[in-house]
Amino acid sequence: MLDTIEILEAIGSNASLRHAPAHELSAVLERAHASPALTFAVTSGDSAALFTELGCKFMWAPQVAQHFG
Amino acid sequence: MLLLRHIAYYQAMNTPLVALRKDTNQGSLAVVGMGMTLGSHLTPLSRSHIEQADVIFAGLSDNIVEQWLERLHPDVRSLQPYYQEGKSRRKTYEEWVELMMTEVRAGKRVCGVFYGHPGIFAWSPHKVIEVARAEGFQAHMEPGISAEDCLYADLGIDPGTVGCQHFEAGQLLFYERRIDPSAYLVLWQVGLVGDRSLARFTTSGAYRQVLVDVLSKDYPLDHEIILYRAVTLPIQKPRIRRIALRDLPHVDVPTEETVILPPAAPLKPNREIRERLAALDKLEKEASPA
Repeated sequence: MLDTIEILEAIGSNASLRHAPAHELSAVLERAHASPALTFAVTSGDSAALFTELGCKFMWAPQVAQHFG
Repeated sequence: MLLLRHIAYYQAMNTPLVALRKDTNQGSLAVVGMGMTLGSHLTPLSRSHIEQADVIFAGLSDNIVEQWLERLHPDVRSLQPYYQEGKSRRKTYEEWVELMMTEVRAGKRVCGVFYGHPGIFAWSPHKVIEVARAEGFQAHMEPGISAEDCLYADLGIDPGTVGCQHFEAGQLLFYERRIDPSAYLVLWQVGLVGDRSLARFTTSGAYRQVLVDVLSKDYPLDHEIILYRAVTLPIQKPRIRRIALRDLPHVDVPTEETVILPPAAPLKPNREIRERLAALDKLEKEASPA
């Protein structure tokens, strides 16, 4: 069984899944036994629960403001 | 005989290519782009650099993408902890260069992995390559799919139609730049426009008002502008907001969002040069054999 990151990688690299409508993608996720947070993120468009599931910490946007002059 | 030659050719074409062993004590550096979207943008060559490196340094914007990178290599060192509110980003970026160079000098094959394209709005990747080469190490950069690339695809903009200017937004405030309102104008890092300290990660609407005042010399205040954010996860949709220029100070603009100003004026024909080109055409036609 694939975990959440593996499922995301599979979606990101699959031409049929990457731009699939939410209802189609959620059906695929159900068959793959994806986590509730991932399925919710797909159906609602809100990834907050997904970040919580994966224990994500705050990230600064890197490399901003390169102007040192 | 012919059959044997065919078999030899077939075997040659199906034998995996194996790189020659190199002096393992010689450090090297590859700086690669992760692209913007998990699973979609990492090129085969950049992936190979990651897999073959001894140590990875990661400058990424999304923690889930960083976790994905950790699946690709057992020694991924995040550069994120070197950021601090109130600490100059210049110091942070110099620390990143030193971190990578320490491992290169120790004879490691180092791979710096940065989100998007590693050479766009990215001081450290260019600097560390410069330092490594100056010290005699092999160092190079592999391009990645950038936020700019995603912008063209998601917004349906072709920079070749009327041209496209790009500026780090602060440059429009710190310097006298010439804007061409007949082209697209793309402004990066509007969320912290006007910050001169390099120690803040956001600036207020009052700073964006200064930007609007500068832009209003070339654009009407009711000109529709676009706020855009590319996706980092393949289940997300790009964030696209359309507002009037005058409203820019009053909306939240995260640092990862980009502001696009579509053209506000038509292309103006250059009559003088067109006439000159027509004269050249005529001369060449007359000189060519019938």
